[in-house]
Amino acid sequence: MPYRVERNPDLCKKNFGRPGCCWYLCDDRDEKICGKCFSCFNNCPHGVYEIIQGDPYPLNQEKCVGCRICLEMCPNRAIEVNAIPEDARQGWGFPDIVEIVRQAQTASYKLRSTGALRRIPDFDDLVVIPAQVSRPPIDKYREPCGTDVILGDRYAENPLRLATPIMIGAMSFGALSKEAKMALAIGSSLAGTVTNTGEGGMLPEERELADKLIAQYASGRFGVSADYLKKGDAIEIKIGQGAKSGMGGHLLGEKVTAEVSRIRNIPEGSDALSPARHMDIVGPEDLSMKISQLREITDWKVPIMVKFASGKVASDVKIAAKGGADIIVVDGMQGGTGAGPEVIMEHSGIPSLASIVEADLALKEIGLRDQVSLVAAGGVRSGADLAKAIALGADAVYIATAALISIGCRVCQMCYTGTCRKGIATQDLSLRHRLDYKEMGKNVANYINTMTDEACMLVQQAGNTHITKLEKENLRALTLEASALTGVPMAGVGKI
Amino acid sequence: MKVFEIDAENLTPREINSQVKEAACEYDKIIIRNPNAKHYLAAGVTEDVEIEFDGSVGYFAGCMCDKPKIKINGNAGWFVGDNITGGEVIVDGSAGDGAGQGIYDGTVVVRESVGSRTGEIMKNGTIIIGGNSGFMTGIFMMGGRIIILGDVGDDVAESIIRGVVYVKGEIKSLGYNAKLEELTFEDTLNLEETLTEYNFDIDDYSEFKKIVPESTRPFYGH
Repeated sequence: MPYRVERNPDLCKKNFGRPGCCWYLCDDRDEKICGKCFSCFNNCPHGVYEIIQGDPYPLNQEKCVGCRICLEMCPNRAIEVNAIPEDARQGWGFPDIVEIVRQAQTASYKLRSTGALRRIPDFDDLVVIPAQVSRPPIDKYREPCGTDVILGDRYAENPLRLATPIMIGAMSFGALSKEAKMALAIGSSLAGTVTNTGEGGMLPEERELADKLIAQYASGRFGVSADYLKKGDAIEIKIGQGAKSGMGGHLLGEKVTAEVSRIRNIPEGSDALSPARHMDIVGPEDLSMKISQLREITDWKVPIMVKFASGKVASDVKIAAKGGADIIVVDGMQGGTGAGPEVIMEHSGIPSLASIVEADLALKEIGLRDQVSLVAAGGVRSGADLAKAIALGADAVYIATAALISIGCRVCQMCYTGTCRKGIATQDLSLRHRLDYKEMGKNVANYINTMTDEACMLVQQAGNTHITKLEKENLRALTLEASALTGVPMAGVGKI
Repeated sequence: MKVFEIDAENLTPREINSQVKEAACEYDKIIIRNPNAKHYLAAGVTEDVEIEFDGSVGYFAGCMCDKPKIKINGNAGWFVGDNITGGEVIVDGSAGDGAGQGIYDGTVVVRESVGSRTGEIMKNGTIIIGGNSGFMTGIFMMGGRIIILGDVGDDVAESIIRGVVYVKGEIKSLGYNAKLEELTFEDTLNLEETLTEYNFDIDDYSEFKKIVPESTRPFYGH
């Protein structure tokens, strides 16, 4: 979707011919440029603006992705960003042409952040059907709705006991700033849930602030030690992630600062490209052995999770369950990332909707549904998404991109450059200062609590008293695609 | 020296490890008899203790240990010393694939030959192989040293971005981003110091070839 960016010069200079106070730069104020700093020019992640004779102009409009950071940070509200109808000549959209030109000029495929951005059947294509006379609804204001869940009690002595089935997904230190990790840790603790180290090791601050913390074990094994695993409340073996199915983690050298290099023990400025597969997990027996190995190291105390990018879901889920996993995570193609090739994000994987149903069915087929917890990930944004994911078969969900949005992210898709204007996906100290991690931690908790509350409303109006009680029978599809992907009948006469 | 003995004949890995971790807090040395090539033995021990296996061990022996000095009087399966962050693992016989995989520190020594992918994704520390090492030795290496006294297979140090591989014998081929570099006098001194410490008798240190990365960013940033 192309965007039109407009800067109103009168509003821009409404303060006696000068721009307003650029509040975002006050933490690193340079008096020499203060009068001409122009927040829009300085903070646009995509180089849309250029300075012409001392004034910023949005010259490179084709680069705009609609993040609206310039608008949000303009002290004088002088910027407007509006989506405009796609300029397409048959299949040849203007963005396609811009990308072909870019590839022709640079000989490189496109790297970016976020995940799949094109239209994919998602939770919005389903509705929860209300209870009426055949089953009475439960009163949201006067009757309780349970939200607590226990995950991973198959073999672990200490399963995850959470106040809500919303967990924060894996995002590494390195991809994120220390402040962002701390905000997520605070938020998860306030909401009574769990956060995840990601594959970049465990920050001492994160461990201290998070009541419950999942230690991720990925193919690069960054920051992994017995001590690291024993400090986790669960261990997550990352086989893959939805955004970059079939590829390992990407942390480009621009973000591998001295601190990141120390915790990962890799050269400063080098690219941390995790192998596409664990070097010691190349088949079903290997995964089973890995689960056993991690149990021996952690003395069988904490749940062992296995996270997959959604592809051959049924086979992978069965292998993990038979291999002894306590919790299985299926990450749909809407899952996010800090860095990855666009072609993989957009054209590999299957939608979250389909993967949840397939995983649930696979566990039932091998008779392990009651023993293995199932976590859905990829594109979860709201209480409605949570309720529908649970109804489709999940026991809990991961949020990640959504959690970042709650602390300031505007999905500009440039995390990999390390120049995040919100202090989230950067290691630059001057940008990190922009993130008030204590306040943002409260935001994360507010968001999770509100999502939980929203889901409860849907659960109660459907006549149930606990968030985990929604079932597939409580859903109807609004689109043929969603119906075909999930087996949920169409609304109305209920035909698939 | 306080010594604790475990007869592992009829014990599961979970039972053996539980006893090892308990004894590691009280004793100076633990001897495990009849390990019978069971897997994950001495996994995740972080006490300063000597552990001796009187026989061969299975996969992932001594994995993720931190301080112990582990001696294996026999052979080891795949991934011996996986991801150790300190201490040492010494195998008197031979070992399978992935010896010293992902180590952060400490030393893994295999006196005879090993399988393939020795020292893959290692970040630091030292691996010494007394015999030959198979293909893709040092793949994705991010730091540390691998010393091979015998021959090494194809694609040595594939996609290496930091660290060094020394080979005394023949090198079949180099991996992507790996290059040969002149051995320095300092290298020979370091090799002599390390190998002497582990009782390897080398006639001529100048025979070693040295393999290092060409670039710290072989894929992006050009």
